[in-house]
Amino acid sequence: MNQDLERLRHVANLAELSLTEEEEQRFAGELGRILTLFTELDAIDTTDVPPTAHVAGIEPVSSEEGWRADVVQPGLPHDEALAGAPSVDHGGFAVPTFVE
Amino acid sequence: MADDVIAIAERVRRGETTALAVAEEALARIAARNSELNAFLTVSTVEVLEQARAVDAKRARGEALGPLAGVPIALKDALCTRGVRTTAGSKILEHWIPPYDATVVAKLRAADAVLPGKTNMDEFAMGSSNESSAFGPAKHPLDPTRAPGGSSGGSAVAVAGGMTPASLGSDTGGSIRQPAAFTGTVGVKPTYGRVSRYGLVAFASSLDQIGPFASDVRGAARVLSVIAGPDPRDMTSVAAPLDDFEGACGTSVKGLRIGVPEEYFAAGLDPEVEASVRAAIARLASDGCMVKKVQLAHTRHAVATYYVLAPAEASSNLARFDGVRFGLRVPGDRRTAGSTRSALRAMYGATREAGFGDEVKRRILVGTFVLSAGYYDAYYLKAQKVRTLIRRDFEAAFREVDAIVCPTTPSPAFRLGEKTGDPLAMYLADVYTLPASLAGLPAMSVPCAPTRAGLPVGLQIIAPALRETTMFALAAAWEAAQA
Repeated sequence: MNQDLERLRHVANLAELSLTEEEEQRFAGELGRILTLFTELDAIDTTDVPPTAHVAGIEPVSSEEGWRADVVQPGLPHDEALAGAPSVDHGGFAVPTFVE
Repeated sequence: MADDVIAIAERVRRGETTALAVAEEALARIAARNSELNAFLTVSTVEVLEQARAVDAKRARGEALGPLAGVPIALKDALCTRGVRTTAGSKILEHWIPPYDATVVAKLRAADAVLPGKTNMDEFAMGSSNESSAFGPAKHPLDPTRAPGGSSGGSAVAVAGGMTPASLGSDTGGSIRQPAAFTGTVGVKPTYGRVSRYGLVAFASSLDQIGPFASDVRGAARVLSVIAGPDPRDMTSVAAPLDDFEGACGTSVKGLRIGVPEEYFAAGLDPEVEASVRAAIARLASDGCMVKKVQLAHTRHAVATYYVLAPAEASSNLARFDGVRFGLRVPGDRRTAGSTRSALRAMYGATREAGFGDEVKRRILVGTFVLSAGYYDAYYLKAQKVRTLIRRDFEAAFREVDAIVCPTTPSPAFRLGEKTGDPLAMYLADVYTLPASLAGLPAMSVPCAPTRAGLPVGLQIIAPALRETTMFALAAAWEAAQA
């Protein structure tokens, strides 16, 4: 198996994404081309540059008074929370077997 | 829609028309144009008439009406609406009905706006042409063979096609500004954190921001003033006081220092777009703005940086679509190449295979890869460091100037199908909108002179964080200069 396809299958497995054979072939090539675009970043000197995970300099809403007060707010009613679920059993989300 | 946001609100308030008549007119315009333009995925006929009657009843009782009284506002289908299906342009949510409203939707209701429907979009906001929508693309109102832009294409078309005077979109890397430029509408991406993201179907959480489209600058300013503000349900929303966005429109721009970044006039820029944008800048100069050259040296790396970071965040955000709590479920085959897996994992894989389209799969795969063991530092962490350099470019520029002006897009609206065969060509079309997104800055697109073929061109205005007022002052000055 070529390396592009092997890498694609590993990533699809991590992402819980089943793919058809046609998709595997196509995405393996596209993933390779997209990763090639990213190699331009290697040439940029980022010595001592801190990463930005989130735009700084803006304080989040909760920070002004420290932690926000622990006040009970109305939540989503149980039946409404379950209303969009594909399968419901005993008042919970039902899933297929995952232990033998 | 003949009238703009403010004209409608004022006429409804004064009793010169009724909210019901305005809503009926909007529905008639949607009915007349939507089969051709595919701007709306869901038209809420019953709900919008009910909302309009409630506004009229409120006025009849002598109660004060809100700032968007009777104004029809279309909503991108990534915004949760209680009781009205919300697809995010995806098969995986085709039949999903949210049990709650996004904060922005609740705020529009409280301001007495009426909500005629949900607009088409690239699937999960991943795209620049609306062609990744699972429900077919929205079409450009001036030329249905062209893309209206994306991802908020339907929201742009709703306004450009005269169906509603304003709409909401979301902008992660240009998804409001680019379709605004393509369709000749005003589109605003506020400062990251200005508007609550609660109830927005998440794409890339460190970049996503909700904002308005409108037929004019003041209308966009009024809608933004309604939806902005801190929200305890979004810890990234900003506690800063709300400025008077609408009041900023019409203030003098004399003496404002505007920066022109040469990197935004690079090879690949359509000459007609360049001429139109440079003419707008010259006009602002003759109105008393001081034009200065600025450098944004890392601009050309914004595409690579963004297309590492946004898919990484998306791959994590979209893990929630697993067939368990909402949306589509497809039972899978437990046998895979060489092994068997649990029925649960088979269901995850088959549901996501059937529910997601190509572009979403592509970005989940890219994002999962750049976060995977052994590659995180080389790709994800590296891109986060380059994001810092892009931010620093803007910080340095804003020590010299009050705002930056440049093209919104390198070309006018391209043809449907022109870039769908090549994901990289589509990504490169975002080059001028990505940097402000990565830096979290407010930016907007306002129409400037169209091309000879009549296609709209967008002038982009980028301001320092939380300085939307500067942006609106310039946009309104430019709009007035053209009138």
